[in-house]
Amino acid sequence: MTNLDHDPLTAAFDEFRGQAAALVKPAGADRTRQEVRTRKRNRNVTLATLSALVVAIPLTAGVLLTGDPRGSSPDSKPVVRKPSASASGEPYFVGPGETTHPSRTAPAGGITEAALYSAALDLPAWPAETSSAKCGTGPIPFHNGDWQTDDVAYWIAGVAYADVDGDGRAETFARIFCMYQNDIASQVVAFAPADGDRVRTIGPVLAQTGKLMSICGLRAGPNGAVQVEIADFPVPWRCADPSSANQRYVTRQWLTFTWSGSAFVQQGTTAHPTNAYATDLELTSTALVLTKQPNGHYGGSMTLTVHNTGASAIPYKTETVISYGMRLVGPPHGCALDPSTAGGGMIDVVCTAAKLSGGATRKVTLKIDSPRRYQLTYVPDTNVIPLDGYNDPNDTNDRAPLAIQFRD
Amino acid sequence: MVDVRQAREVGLDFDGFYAAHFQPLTIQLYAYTGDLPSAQDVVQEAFCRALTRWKRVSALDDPQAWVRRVAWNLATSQWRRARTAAAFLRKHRVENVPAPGPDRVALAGALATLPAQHRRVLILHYLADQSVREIADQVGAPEGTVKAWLHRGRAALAARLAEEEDES
Repeated sequence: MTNLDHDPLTAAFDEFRGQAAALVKPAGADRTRQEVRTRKRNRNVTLATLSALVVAIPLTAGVLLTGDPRGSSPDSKPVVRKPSASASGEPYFVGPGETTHPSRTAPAGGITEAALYSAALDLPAWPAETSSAKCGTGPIPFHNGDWQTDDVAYWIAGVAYADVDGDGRAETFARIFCMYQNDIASQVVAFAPADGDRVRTIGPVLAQTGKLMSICGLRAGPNGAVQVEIADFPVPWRCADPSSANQRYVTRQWLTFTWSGSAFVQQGTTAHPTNAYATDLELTSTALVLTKQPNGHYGGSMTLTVHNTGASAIPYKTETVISYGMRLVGPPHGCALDPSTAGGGMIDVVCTAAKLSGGATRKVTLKIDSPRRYQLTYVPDTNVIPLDGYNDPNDTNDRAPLAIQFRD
Repeated sequence: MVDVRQAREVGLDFDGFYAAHFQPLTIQLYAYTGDLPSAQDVVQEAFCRALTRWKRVSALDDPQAWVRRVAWNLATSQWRRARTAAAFLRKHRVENVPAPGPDRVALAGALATLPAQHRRVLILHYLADQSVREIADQVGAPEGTVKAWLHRGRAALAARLAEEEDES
């Protein structure tokens, strides 16, 4: 909430809000419904056309490749297939701004997306973290890819097929989300068909927990393996909403799992790759003590120390607030007063610095000349900010208080 | 914040949600883009997307945050060029937009001189009443960075407005 009631900008924004309010002309909820209905109608027409093409193309391909007029053989080996935008059914929700349409075809032994999305699924226990308190194990009666109770929502986002036991029939893998309020968990689960069009849960492959912050992808790997993409997604919706984070700061990797006969086992170790664009910078500062000079001015200096506690080298800048009217004497390379920051009796000394390697420390000393004593009407501080395109997720050590003292 | 139970108890229907939030969201996007029709377009599109999945959106802890994020994403994405909703809105827009007043122009003009990131966090702070944490979540930046942008943006905006006062 805005907590600066005396802030003159609050009044400026309030005035803006009041003036602009009269100009906003909502289309209205009814017209919004009408628009959505129109879009659905148009989409259904398009999907019907696409469905016809999707049915026609495999049959044609089967004839061309196998010479079999019936199309592909029902005993053909499982193939890797990404969730397609084919077939029919209601679009289902996979996250903000995204919909997909479940396929009605699957490789031999596999469960079609459409069948899986409307099946009652037993889910493995969710990791003992925030969401798990509310996320259940089922059976969850999914309908069109999702299910919602009073306060928990589940949805399936992505299906892959792999023949993990080498019997020539594919097992089905799904990425499943559970959301309680705005807290989201996900896991990858293996399924197989059971009697009476039911679905049997084979078991968990991988679940979001601890440092494994999000599960972003699912695909079949080589030799009957299944692969899961994980990422250190930094925002609450994690990979349920890939658009909500700067992808440059997201480190991804694919993990490979095989079937041991009783469980899915990760092959190799998790690499924990280093993100080349992110690190942890730490800033400290000495006090700025300004002593009276023979010419009546006050002079002194402060030293800013930036330490890179991470591994990646990134460039940065420091912003140090001093009183408007103070002068920077003999500015170090890359440092200058930034007139665009002047306001409220203060101005920033901005120092732009080249990349600082992991583990390294850099110091810069700022000499200040003050023509008079200033009554500070602000709280001086200094902070370090990565340059555009770089990130410092740990902000607890990016800002340091700054003491400015005058001595006669 | 409205939790799921509260939302259900007060009957969070789409009509009420639309009526309560269309205007404030549009004002926020207007402050950001400086273009009122464009702001209305993206907010309308965000509400259309909310309606198609209303069951889930309405159950969120903060449905307004969902719509706000979609609208901001649209405002900063290629979508505006496509303007899929523009024709719809033009068709239904019945009143001409009056000429802007001088005060509104002053703030919009001053905001337009700021870097986009500073402009965005100022608007989310002052017009959407969001905390630093909430802004950080929405823009996908660390809280420290958001604080720095707010600090910088405040100082720069105050200076711009003071300059404009001096010139007038």
